[in-house]
Amino acid sequence: MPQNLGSTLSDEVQLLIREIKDALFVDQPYLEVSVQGGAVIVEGTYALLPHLPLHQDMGAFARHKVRVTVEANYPKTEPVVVVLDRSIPRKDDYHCSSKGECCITVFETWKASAKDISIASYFNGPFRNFFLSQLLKRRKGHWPFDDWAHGEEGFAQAIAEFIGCRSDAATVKNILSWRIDNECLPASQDTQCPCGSGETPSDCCADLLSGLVQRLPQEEARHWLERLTKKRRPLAPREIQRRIHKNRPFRRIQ
Amino acid sequence: MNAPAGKKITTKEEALRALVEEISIPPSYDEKARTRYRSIGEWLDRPASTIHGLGPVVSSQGSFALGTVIRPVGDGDAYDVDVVCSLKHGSRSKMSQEELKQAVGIEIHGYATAQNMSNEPDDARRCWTLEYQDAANFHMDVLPSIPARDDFTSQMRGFSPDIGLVQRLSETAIGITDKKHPGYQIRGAEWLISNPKGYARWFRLRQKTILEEARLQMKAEGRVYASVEEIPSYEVRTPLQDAIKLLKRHRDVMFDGDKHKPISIIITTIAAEAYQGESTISDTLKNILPKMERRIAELGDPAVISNPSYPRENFADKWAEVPEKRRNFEKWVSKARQDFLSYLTVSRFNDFPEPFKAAMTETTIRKVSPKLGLAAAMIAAGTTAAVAEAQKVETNGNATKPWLDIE
Ligand SMILES: [Zn+2]
Repeated sequence: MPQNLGSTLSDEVQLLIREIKDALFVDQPYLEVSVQGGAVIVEGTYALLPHLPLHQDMGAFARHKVRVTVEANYPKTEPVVVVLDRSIPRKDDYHCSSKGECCITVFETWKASAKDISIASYFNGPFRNFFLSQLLKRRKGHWPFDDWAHGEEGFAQAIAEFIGCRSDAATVKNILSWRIDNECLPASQDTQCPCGSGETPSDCCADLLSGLVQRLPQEEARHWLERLTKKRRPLAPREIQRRIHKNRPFRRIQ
Repeated sequence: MNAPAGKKITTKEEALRALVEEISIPPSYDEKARTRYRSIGEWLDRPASTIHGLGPVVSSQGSFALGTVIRPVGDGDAYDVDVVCSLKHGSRSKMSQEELKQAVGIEIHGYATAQNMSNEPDDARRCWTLEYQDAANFHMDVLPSIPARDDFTSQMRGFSPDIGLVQRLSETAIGITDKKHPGYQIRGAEWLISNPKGYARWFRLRQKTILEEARLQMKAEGRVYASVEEIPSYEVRTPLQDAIKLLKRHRDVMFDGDKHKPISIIITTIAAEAYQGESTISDTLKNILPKMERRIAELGDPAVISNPSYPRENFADKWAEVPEKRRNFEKWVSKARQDFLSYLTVSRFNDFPEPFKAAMTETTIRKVSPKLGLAAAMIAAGTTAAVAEAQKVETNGNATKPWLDIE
C-alpha cells in the first residue's frame, strides 16, 4: 500500500525517501518504505536479483526478510541492516550478529573510495554484494569478494587497502597520523616516511602519500584513527563463552 | 487434454506476449469493428445522405485508434468502439450543437433501419450509440463533430507559449456536441473542444523509434507508408501498446465494476509519457511502472494530468470532486507495479506469482500455463549464474567485503 508520508517531514527526509524509492521500486516489489522517528525504514522481502541481462529469466537467487534503517543524514551514518528471518546464519563467521544485524562492509572506506555513494549505489553495491556473498559462501564454501577480519583488524585491513599500504595496525595508524598532520608532502629531507622504512617520503611513499592527501580529508583520517585506537570494552567471560559456542557449529546437533 | 503444440515458452518476454495474445481483442473482431465503422462512414457520405454536402468522415478514436483494445473480463461484456464523425464543412456559425447532433442522428437512424438493427440508436450525452447484437458484441459510439482549428488556437492563446505546437495540434482539433453544455442549442456559441486525432498522433510519436523500424521492415515487404503517422495501428504491435493492454487488464480485474476505477486515458497518457523506446514488453513495464507511480504520488492538489493533444483539458479534473478516484488510482498504480515486478524481476519465467495470476485472471493463466517450458536446466545453472554475477561486480570495480564490527 502506498503510504501517505505527508508534508510534515523535513526536506532531507523527503529527499531521502524519494531517492530510496527510485532505487528500490524499479525492481523490488516486496519492499516498503516508511518513516520512523526521523529515519527512513525499508522493510519487507529483499530479492537478490541478477543484473546480467542473460539471467533475467531466472528470477531471484535468494530472498531475505530485512529491515534497513537509513538515517536522514545518510551517508554520514551507516544504514543498519537487520535480517529478520533465518536466511543467514546468525554467526560471526557469516558477518551476522545473534540479533540478525549484518555487517555489510567497512562503510567508512567504501564511502571514501566508491565513485558513487548515493543510497541507490549503496543498495546496488555493498548491500547486494553482501547477500550475493552469502549465497556463494553457502553454495561454494568461500566468500566471492573475500571478507575482512573481524573487528579492529579488519578495519585496519580495509584502511590499508584504501591507502595501499601494509595492513598491520602500526603502519596504518602512522600513516593516518601523518595525514592528520600534513596538508601536503613535506619539503624537508629530515622527515622519515610514515611507513616506517626509515627513508624520506620523497624516496619512498611520495606517490601514495600525495594520493592520500587528495583522497582522504583530514577530518575523515582523524575519525578513522579514533576508531582504530578506541579503547575497547573487554569482553565479559560469559560473552567469550557464548562466542566460542556460536563459532563451533560441530558442538551442535545439525 | 492434449498437450498444446508448438514451441514452449522459455522467456518472460514470450510469456508476456502469450498473455497479451489472450487478453487482446481477437483479430477477427478488430477487423469487424473496422468494417463496421467504415460502413457507417460510407452510409453517411452516400450521395443521398442529408449530410453528404457537409463532408462527413468517420474515423476511430480511443483504444481502437491507439491499438490498445483488450477483451472484457466477463465474456458476455461488449466492446466499446469509439468513432468520430467529423463534418469537414461544418461550422458553429452555421449550426448549433443540437442541429449537428440531430442532422447526424437522422442518418444514423436510417443506417440502423437499413441494417435491420433491432435496437434504436441511443441519443447519449455526446454521441449516438449503436448496439450490435451478434457474435461480435459491440457498442459503437459515434461522436458528431466539426473542425475547430480557430477556436482551439484562440483558447490556447496565453495557455501554451509554444505557438508551433499549438498550430500543429489545432489542425486536428474538433468541436463536439454536449447536451449539458449551456450553448447546446445556440448557433454561434462556443463548443467543447476535443482532439482525438492529435492524441493518436502524439501516442504514435512517443513510439517513433520503434515504429520507424517497423515502417522500414514493412517497406522491405512491399507495404509502403510515407511516415510513422500513416501506419494504421492494427498494422503493428508495439511493446508500449502491449504493456498498456496488460495494465488495463490489471485495472479491470482490480476494479471490477467500480465506477471510480482508473480511466484508460490516464493510464495510457502517463504510460506513454514514461516510455523511453524500450523494445520489449518487459523492459517497457519495468521502466514505466515506477515512473507512473512516482508521477501520481507527486501530483499537486488539485491533480492535473494534461491532455497532450489539448493541454487545457485535465484528464484528472474529476479527482477534486471525487477523491476516491484519486485514491483508487494511487492504489492501483502501486499494486500494478508490485504485481508486475513480482513476475518480471523476482520470479522464474515459468512461475507466475499468485498476485500476478489473479491480476491476469485464472482463465487467461490457464491458457498460457501449459505452454510454459521447464526450467530444470536453469535451476541447475543457478550457482554458475551467481558466480558470473559476482565476477561482473568484480570487473566493474564494485566489489565489497563483509566485515564484523565487534564492539
Ligand atoms: Zn614509505
